[in-house]
Amino acid sequence: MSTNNETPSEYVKLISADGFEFVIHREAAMRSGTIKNMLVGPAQFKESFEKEIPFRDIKAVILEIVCRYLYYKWQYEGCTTEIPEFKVDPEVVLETLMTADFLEC
Amino acid sequence: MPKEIKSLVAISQDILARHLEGLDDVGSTPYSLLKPALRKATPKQLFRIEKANPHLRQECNELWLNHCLSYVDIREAYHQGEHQDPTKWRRTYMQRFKETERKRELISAKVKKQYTKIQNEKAAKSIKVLSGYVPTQGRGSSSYDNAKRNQTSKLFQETRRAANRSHAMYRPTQQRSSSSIFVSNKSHRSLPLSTNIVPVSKPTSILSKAYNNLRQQHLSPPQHFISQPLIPPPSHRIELPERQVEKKHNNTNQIYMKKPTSITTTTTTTTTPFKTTTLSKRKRLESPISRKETQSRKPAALVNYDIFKQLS
Repeated sequence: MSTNNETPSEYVKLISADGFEFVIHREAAMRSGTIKNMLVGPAQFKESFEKEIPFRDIKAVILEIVCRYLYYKWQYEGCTTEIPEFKVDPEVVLETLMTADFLEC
Repeated sequence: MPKEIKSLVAISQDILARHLEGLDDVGSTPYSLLKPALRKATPKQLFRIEKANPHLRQECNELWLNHCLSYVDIREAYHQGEHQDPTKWRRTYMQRFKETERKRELISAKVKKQYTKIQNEKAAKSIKVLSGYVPTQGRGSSSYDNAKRNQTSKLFQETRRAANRSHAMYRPTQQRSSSSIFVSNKSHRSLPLSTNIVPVSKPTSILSKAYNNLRQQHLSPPQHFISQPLIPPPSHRIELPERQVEKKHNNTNQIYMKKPTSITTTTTTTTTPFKTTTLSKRKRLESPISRKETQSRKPAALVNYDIFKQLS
């Protein structure tokens, strides 16, 4: 997850409230219902054009966990072998819960 | 079959349910998100979280039903239609809980009380090791004697005493002294002799006097009861003045006054008479003895009955 922007179509950038930018694969981002809607939706949204999505309410810590989860999901979906447990730190689990609920992932 | 990956929401809820103990203020988290986690909360945890988040209280009413239903009696009442008001479920549970607590405390107090009672009884009955001496009621040997005395029957004791008395005069002083401790507690009247220390004979009792008189009269030596020879052999000189229970005496009333210290005699001949009881033998023996006595310069060991008379 680098902060540098490269191929526009393949990656999307998620920007946290405190200014951190998370560049992730578009495929991974699609696993989040909300982000998917933002990217796929009508071109009226600035996001769909720019491929950058700022989140003014989500902290970088939480956004990082979300990104991690998105990759986790992209990696293991359809997998028949044993899937490892996705761990979340109990301290942030409440905020993660709220964010995950918002992002529909 | 590909497994469905758990949503981040579900994962988060699971983790939250595991760590409810640390949950405090939920902030703006809606009840709907918290519900799956709170359903797994214990009554204690639920109560605490409600306290920290009063705005959730109303919505948490439904959660108390499950806790109420954990009590069988309430569950049965519920199935019959009672406890329908969700707002009351919390209170119902609290009441029931406190009641159970109170009963438990009563029982534990009771059990504890009984246990300590038994412990005390055990301690009281236990054998304790004492340091030092325990005071006894009597002193030493006398207590044993007293105990022995108390145990033997009175009749037996009396019989023994009487037997002792009658045999006392035949026994030499030495023997008597050994048993004097025991016998001395009883009456002394029947013992004619003095203690082992003083050789002087005490005044005789009536019984012994009578006995001696009779003997003088009949000249019959007591044969069975004598344990020692009356006149010791000349080789042995006995310093102690034993009262010689004498064999014969003289119808002639020959009384030989002798010093109590020295006792010598014509011994050999005198020993024999004790064995025989016939008069003839007696007479035979009489003469040699008397002759010898008259002939010998040494004093003979004779009982002087006059002494008894003198001393009485």
